[in-house]
Amino acid sequence: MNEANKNEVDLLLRSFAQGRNESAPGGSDHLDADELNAYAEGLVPPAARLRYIGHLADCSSCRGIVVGLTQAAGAVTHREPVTQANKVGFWQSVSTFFSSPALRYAVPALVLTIVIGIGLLVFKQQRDSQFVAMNRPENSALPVNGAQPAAPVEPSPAQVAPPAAAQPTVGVTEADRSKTQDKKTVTEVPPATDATVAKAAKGRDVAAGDSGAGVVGQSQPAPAPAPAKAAEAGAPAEVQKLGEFAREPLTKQEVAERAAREEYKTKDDEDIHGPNRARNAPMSTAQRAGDLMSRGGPSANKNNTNEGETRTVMGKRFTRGSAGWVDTEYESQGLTRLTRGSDRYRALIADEPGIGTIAERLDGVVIVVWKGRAYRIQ
Amino acid sequence: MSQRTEPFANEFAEGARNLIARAADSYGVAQEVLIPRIAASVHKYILRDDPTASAGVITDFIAKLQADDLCLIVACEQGVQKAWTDLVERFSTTVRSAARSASSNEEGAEDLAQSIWAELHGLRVRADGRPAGKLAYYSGRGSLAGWLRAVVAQLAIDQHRKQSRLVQTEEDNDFDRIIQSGTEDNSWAGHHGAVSPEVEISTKLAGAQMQKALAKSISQLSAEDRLLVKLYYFDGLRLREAGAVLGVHEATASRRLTRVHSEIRQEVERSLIAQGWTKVETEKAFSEIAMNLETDLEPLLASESVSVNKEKEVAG
Repeated sequence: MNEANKNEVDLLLRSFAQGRNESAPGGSDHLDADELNAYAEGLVPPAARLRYIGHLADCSSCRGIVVGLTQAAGAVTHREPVTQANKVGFWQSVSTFFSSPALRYAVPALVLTIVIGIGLLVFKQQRDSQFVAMNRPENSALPVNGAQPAAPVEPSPAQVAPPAAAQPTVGVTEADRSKTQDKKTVTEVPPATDATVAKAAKGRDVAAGDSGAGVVGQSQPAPAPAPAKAAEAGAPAEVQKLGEFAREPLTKQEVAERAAREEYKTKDDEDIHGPNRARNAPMSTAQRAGDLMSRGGPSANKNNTNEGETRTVMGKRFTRGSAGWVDTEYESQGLTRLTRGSDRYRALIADEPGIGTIAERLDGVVIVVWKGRAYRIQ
Repeated sequence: MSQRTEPFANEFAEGARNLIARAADSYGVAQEVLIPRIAASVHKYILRDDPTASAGVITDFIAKLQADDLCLIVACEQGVQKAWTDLVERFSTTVRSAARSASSNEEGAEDLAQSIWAELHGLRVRADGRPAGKLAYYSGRGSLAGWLRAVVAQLAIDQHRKQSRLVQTEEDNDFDRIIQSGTEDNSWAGHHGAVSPEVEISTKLAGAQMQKALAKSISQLSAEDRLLVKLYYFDGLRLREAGAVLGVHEATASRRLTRVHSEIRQEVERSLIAQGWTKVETEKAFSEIAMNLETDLEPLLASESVSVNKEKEVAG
């Protein structure tokens, strides 16, 4: 039965009920006060209830009392199983489902869901592309042993790593493209064991401590292939060589190159793991610092001797580690990398002077968490 | 008491003992006094409709009786003064509230509330010398407060009927005539303006046949569906209120009503076809009558509200 038919019957019944006087049963057949109350409170046994309902359907005065009592008692209603509705035929149910009252709510809800879904997708894409764009200038200026990184490619949503795992946010796609080239660079670095690297690092530390020159903060880049090769030999002579290398004054360009190499190496190491998120699981700050150190990364500089130092600036605590000053709130989330003096850095400290104060008071690399975002300032 | 209750004597005795134990204050009511009261309740609510009920069902029924309320009422019946004092103290507010709901003015409500206590106590005397009040009809199945509300409502209706019979003013007669004329005008023949007498007669006849078929289809509904139709269409309750009377949720009541519409339509069509109508004619009649009713609904509802107001005035 369609909606129009229902309305017709509804109107007929309304009209039929107008001015209709019901014939009440004889006085002796009326329900007494006790029965009326028991019914209104829902305490009548099933068999008696049927009889009462039959009477109430035909007796307006008893019905009136029951209605009043039910409203006074605030009758507890219960949901019936939908077996009653199942009596309606299958096709009737289908047609009822697609009737206008059902579609009135279902269609807008469906449209709204689709719009929200598309909106979220677009927003996510925009956000990812902004993220890549922010980091692109740094990447594009990173020469890796003469091998230019591939041109930045707009990452597809599938290729973009989630924020938590996007620690090396410097263009995952770029890394994939230049993986072969980078691997060449990496393979130039001999697979040094932890012991040999530690030895080399130690040598460098000693040398750097002596000279104290040519090192720009903790962001000092990864060691060049040469020292690594020297470390492979594992002899004290090589340690001496490393010391000499460390003493050599580094130009600004060299410092930048080394930083770039280290970043690419780190990123490549993680990319090698491929989509295996378990292996790419974010490391804690301490783990990361230790990892960098074991690889002879930036930790291998003069500041190594000051590891574990803690300072408080602007109400935030920073621990000095191999990776520089690290905010104690930092939990390996994605980093926005900034260089002191750059336009972006100036823009940031204009908005957030607190970050500028921190960067001024803490020399070298500073990883600071500010309003939920992590910045790496060097 | 039917013979069937005899086998349950143990259940009654046990139930009476438990009932006294459950009551916070039994007012010294003896077990022997309670047993016939419990037996009467069991017969009224169970054995009358289900003579084969098991002992378990009866025990369960007795266990759910309102121990405090039943002991209080039985004690009042026994003439325990403290019980009467407690009854009036605890339930005078309930009685006054119920009387106000049943009366249209404060004075009438106060009179009604006062007369309730007399009705409960009983003005006549039974064979055993005790007053024959309404207290004897409280079974303990529902709450005492609810029972008192029901007693007040019934008393209000009785008083209204007596008053209506005595006071039949000229205005009321006029009013009845207005209602009657309104009902007559509410013909399903519709308002067709200037039509030929033949058409008018045949239309009126069709409307009358439709009304008859509709009344028949309503009477053939199940008791519960009929009650729903009466509550919704005749008493003007909302679906939520009608559902509460039936003990179902509003959504269930709505589903039922939709099904009832379908059943009524089918039954009316069947009935009309049996009288010689064709399928097309019944469908046409449905749509035409509904169209006429739709346009006429406003004045009908207006006259209904007038009649309701008038009834309230009479009741006051």
